[in-house]
Amino acid sequence: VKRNKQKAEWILAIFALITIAFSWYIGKKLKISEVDQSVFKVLPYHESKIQRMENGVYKVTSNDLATVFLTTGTGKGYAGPIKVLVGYSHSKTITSINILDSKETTSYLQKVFNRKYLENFHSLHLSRLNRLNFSPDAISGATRTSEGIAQAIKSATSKLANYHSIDFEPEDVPQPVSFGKKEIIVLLLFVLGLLARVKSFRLKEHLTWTTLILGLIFLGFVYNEPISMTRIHSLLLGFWPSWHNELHIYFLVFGVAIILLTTGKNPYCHAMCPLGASQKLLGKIGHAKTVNLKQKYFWVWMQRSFAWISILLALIFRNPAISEYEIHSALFQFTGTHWLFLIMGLTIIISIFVSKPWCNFLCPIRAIFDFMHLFRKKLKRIKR
Amino acid sequence: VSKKKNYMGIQFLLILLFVFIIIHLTENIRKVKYNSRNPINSYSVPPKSYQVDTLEQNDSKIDTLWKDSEFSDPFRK
Repeated sequence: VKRNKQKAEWILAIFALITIAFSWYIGKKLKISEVDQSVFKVLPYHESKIQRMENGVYKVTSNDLATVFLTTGTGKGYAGPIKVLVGYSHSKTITSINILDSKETTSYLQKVFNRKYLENFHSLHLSRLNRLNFSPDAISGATRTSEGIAQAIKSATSKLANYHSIDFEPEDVPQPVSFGKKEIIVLLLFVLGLLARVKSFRLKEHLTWTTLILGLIFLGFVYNEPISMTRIHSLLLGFWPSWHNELHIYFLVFGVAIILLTTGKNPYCHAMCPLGASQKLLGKIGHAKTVNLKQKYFWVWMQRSFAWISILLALIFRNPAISEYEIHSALFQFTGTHWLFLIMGLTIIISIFVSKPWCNFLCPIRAIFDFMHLFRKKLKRIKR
Repeated sequence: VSKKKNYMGIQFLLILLFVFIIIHLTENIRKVKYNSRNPINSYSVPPKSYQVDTLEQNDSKIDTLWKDSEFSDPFRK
């Protein structure tokens, strides 16, 4: 029976891999270059003549209005590239900003608009954007999204500057690799987490709690950087973060994957995950009990199926945030749809009585780790 | 560790959570699809009523609009 079960698991894993590859292909095929079409969609000058110039600069001329310019630019947001269309008056000041395409979670993007972030760029002259290296304060709780938009506007502006042969800082200035607090914390969590998994270590329990609390504070409330489905989708779609200034993401995601595949030990769920930590704390308060359901396999496969569907949707729509249903942003940043808040609220209540319900029944990351475990086991068996 | 049981109440809550997740995903897809059809016209000057203005009028109106708006240009102060 056990062998049959393993065989079935392996067949389903292969099926999942094939469908994931297939949806990646469908997504790629469906995604046509929409920027050009979007330019016309957002353009308010209906009776104008639009010419596409070099370097993605659009020249808009009409009988009634002076020549204006439009350029597109791309910046890196949290979940992937953000494309903007920036309009400039004849005197090269910014007159309009439109978001053409973004992979960001809608609530993050909404936060940026609600705080009127784009108004910072109102009427700015092209040269100001360059000379003063203008970057308004990022919106807290949506830092990457706001920074991505600023980067996109600057990239669009550099195109216009190029077109007018105005000196402008090159778009891709090589940045130094930054190794800061985030990287140190992630490495520290790894070291402590691995120590906590050594069986003979005397202070094992204390150390586990220390890493969990550190994870909850830093990966949760301070930076909101847990391993999330949005991150996994972004990597699968090729929207990789810049390793120069986001080295900690590579440490976290690849560190966990390498340790899991080589040693079979999961350093993340038991010692680092901020969501796991919050559930464990709540469980401590309510003396939560570990629930062993009769229909265990049904729930395990529900959890895995939802993770699989989430990946398929993200790949087909080529949008990492479209199928995210995790509750960290609601819990740690107070951002999300009302449904997400409802899911979070219910999970919190259940966590008081049932040990780690999110991890055991809902977390899609756990399903991915299960898949990696299965892959490792199979490889070991083949080696033998 | 408790023995294997049915725990009907917990199973009911889990089903409820999965239903909420499905609704959340459907809403998310609908929102993203809507946004991709209607690029977010987040900020745009000149407003449509000024489109037929001449170049100079247009610029002076933008300036007036700017001065009257509640937002401040950090470089103009």
